[in-house]
Amino acid sequence: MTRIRLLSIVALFALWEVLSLYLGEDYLPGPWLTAQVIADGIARGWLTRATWITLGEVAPAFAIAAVAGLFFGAVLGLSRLWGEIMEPLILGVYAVPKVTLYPIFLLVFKVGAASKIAFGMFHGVFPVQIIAQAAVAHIRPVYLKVARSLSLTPAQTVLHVVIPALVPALVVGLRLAFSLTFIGVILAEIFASRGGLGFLLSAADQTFDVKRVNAVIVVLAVIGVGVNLLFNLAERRVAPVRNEERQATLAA
Amino acid sequence: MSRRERNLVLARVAIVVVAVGILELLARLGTFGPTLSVPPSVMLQTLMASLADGTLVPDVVRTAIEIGLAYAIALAIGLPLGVVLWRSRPLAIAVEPYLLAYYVIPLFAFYPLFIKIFGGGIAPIVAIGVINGIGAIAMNVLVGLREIPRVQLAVARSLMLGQTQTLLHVVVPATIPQAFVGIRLGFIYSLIGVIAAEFILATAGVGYRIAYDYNNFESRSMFATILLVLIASIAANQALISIERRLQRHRRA
Repeated sequence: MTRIRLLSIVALFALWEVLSLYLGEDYLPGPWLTAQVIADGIARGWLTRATWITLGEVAPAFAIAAVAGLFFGAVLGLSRLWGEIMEPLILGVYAVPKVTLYPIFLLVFKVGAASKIAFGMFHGVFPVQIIAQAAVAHIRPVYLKVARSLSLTPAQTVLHVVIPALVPALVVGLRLAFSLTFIGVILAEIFASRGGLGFLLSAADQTFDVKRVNAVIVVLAVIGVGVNLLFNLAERRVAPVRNEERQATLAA
Repeated sequence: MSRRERNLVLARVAIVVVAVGILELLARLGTFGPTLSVPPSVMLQTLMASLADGTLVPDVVRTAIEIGLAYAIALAIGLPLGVVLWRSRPLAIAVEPYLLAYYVIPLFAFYPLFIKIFGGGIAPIVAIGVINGIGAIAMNVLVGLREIPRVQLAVARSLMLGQTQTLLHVVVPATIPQAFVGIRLGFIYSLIGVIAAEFILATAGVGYRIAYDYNNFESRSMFATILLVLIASIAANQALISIERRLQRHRRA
């Protein structure tokens, strides 16, 4: 299994190399040239600076999305009626291309970090909310029965029964939320901003600096995939979730 | 529809109506300042006007064609891909992590590359819609195929059904409910990919119009076009969800 995975990474790089040879390095710089550009970006600081700006926006956006999503998910999960009423409305908003709403965030928060954080949060909050609500609503009744038969107080029930029962689903929700928050912030930076990886991307794009574009894409991929892997490890630790369940297909 | 379901729908409609009403009132009072205070009724009027006088129509047509093409291609690649991954375990092990992880990467970054590969016009935008849709389609088909109860395949064998018969009478019916989740999400993701790509990159289409109006301080027509996108995507999603429900009920019956 590990051998196949390693081979697939080799195949990916080989494909990249072949494509860049075919299209020419002026259009698709190969792995080696891209590595050199990244090294230059780290040495001269333009890439590290942009990365820190982006992460500085993603972190608060993700934190707010996680807390708000968990809160509303728990509230709507606990009230069956309100949960049922609100669920289709929330899924409806989730199906909208949210980036088209970004101008509204810009008009409210003005160009700057606040509008990007707010939009990133809006982009990422839905999976946590949706998954938390489903997890709270479908908590196995037998757990609650045991809690009652042990005559736990409500606080104890929440602490020792409800939260542990929710953890596996929540880790999945948080993983998806991170991906979406990250993409939200990048989209916001591409559209209107003066700093960050998204800004670097659109600036390099406009000056046809393909080498820089490629370098930024690689950094984005490394951050996105890297954080995803960390969440995957966490998922395996908190519960033996089935592969299919982890793949809860929420994305945008 | 049961009485309870009808009440739920009524409650939802009431919530939306109240929310829109509050927005209308606040906007009419100018609460959000001159650019943001566009009442929903004005948005709708502006939208109707720009559809009636044809100013928005070419963009709507273009976007619809792009989404349709992107979705068709995503289905044509995603459905067989799910089947291939089901048949070949090593391939699934190799490809699955990428199918799950590539959503993390902003695909718009590849636009310049797509222009080089596919040329100008709608092709690069369609390509982004295709890539955005494939993953959800392939993954759900794969999950659906993997979850076919073994007993059903065993029955097929013991009845000595041929390959096509097994496929037609066992595999396809057992897979459809889960596969349809992918077929629905694939549409939504293709739509999101196309409109978002237009918004950021293109020089035509509904997404572009929103960005253009924003940059030119045309907040009325911007909100009108946003309203169109909201209505269209929510309506499409609802339609697909109701089909999905029917398929799942059918399976249980």
